[in-house]
Amino acid sequence: MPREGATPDDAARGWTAEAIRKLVDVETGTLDPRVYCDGALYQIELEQVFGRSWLFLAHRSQIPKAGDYFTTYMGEDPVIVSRQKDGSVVAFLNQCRHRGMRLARLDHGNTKFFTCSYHGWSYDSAGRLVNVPMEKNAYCSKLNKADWGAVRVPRVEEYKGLIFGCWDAEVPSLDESLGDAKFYMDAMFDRSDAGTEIWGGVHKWVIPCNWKFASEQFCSDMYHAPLSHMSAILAVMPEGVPPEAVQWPMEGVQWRSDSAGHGTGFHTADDQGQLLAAIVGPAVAEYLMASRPRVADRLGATRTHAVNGAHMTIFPTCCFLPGINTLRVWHPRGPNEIEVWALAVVDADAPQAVKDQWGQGITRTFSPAGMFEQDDGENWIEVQRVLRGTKSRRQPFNLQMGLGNEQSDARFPGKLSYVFSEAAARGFYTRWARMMAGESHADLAAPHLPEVR
Amino acid sequence: MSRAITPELQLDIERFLYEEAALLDRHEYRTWLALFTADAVYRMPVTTNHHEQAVGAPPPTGPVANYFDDNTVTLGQRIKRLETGKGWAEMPPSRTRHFVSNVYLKPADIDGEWEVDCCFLLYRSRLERQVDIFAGSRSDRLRPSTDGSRWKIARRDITLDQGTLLANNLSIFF
Repeated sequence: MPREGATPDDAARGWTAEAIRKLVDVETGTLDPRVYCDGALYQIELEQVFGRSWLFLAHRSQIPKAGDYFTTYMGEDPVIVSRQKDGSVVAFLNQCRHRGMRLARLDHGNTKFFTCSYHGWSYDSAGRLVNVPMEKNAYCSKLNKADWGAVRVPRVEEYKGLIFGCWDAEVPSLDESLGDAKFYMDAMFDRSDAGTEIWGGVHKWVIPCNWKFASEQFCSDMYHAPLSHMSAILAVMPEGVPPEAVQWPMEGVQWRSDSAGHGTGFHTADDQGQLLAAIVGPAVAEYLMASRPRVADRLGATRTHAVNGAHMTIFPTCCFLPGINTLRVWHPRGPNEIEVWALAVVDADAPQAVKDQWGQGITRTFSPAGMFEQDDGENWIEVQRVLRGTKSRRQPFNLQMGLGNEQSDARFPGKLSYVFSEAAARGFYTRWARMMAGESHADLAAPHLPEVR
Repeated sequence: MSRAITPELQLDIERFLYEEAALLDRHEYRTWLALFTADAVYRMPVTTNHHEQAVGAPPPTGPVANYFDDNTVTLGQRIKRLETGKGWAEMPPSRTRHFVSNVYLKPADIDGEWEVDCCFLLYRSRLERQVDIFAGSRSDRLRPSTDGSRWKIARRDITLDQGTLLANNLSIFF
């Protein structure tokens, strides 16, 4: 809790590791809401969380050919993600080393060179500085171009088509950082050898809220769905289904990482694709039902039948809904704003008509005009505005759901609880606090302390 | 049927667009939906910044992401959502003003039907102090009708000029 009489500005100066850790209390299940609105904490976040975590950059299908590039962000830093001649992927800061100008100003494209539009310094697809205008006359041939390449993202790794980057060269491998999350991710990204691809392009929009509301919800919050999304559920139900017949399922499981901050939750009762048929379309649901035998051969029966209506977050900001297949990242824009970049993921080997209906279905449900998505933003925006008040930001938030009720289920690996639980949120915020407090990657690998001591 | 663009025709179609805009601003969505033909499509593609656009070449082929990619069934679902009273993004509803201008008629390939382009400015005010302004163009296919209205909209393609949307949602119709 904040000190008595301390103003937010006063408290913001000099956040110590100890003070940061106290913001998240998993023994009592409380969260200090200043994590969402404090400007000084946000600056620490950019360095300690976004500067040291694996961040989603692009799907491999967005840059299939040599020279293809996609411009995105890591935190607030613009980066270029670029396919090389040898098939590898390189990412580098989208900034000219001469005077800091943005190098690539288009959303995507194919190029051999990135030429700065300010003075014309030119970089190759790996970010090496290869040409400087008037190098002989103006620089007297004394400029060492090898020293002035674009700033490389030191670590770029891929998991099942998802390309991630990390600014911290010392970070454990992506594979290790994902850990048990891979088991759950595979239900969306590893349904066949062909894998997945992106359908269409990117939805980009601004929501005036902190990035953690969005990430936490995809990590841990099935609880909001029956209320926040009831209007959309009722709207997409077939004609003639009375509202009282729409019952939200009660069976389900939530999983959280031991220490990485990832989380997922889903319903275990098999509805034979009925909800997916209503949300993304009957052809997609039929395709998914028909593909079950071959997917079961690959992933096993559990992930084929017992993972339904799932939500998932890879800490900090890579989020997706397996089945519906929206994938998004929340780029932070200050403590009070995010840019949502959302993609539609489809099975690469699905028939084109299925891919098209999938893409359309995602557009109609999870996009800025999406019938489900609209109502999420509404909640986050209002919380953020309320937190402008000095009293409102001093009231601890309740994070107690399922406290002390972790459970086991032999079908699923890792730390489990009931589908309606905040165990994954507590794991998410504990990871956040540990990174914010400056723990080394070696220390961060140790499991979170037990919640109830 | 005549393919001449007479002042009477221009006025008639402009009046139709104004009446349509007023239905949206009054939240009379069922009446608004009845202005579309049963086979109508309603689309708003995502606006991107790409090289082909810069040099004036056609955009790349393949699926294009849309904000809206609807037919009358899915438009009806959107309206049904609003009617539940639990669609929180529009409860309470946005206050909107649809401004329509630069109405430009061209004869369509089917006699009697018209391609109608216009510019729009959409002002949306919500709750205490949220304001969004959307500018863009619409390209409609209008088909003559004897069923309740003089015209029906058989196709609406909407272009929104923003790249990254500055609005937190598109919970309204264009």
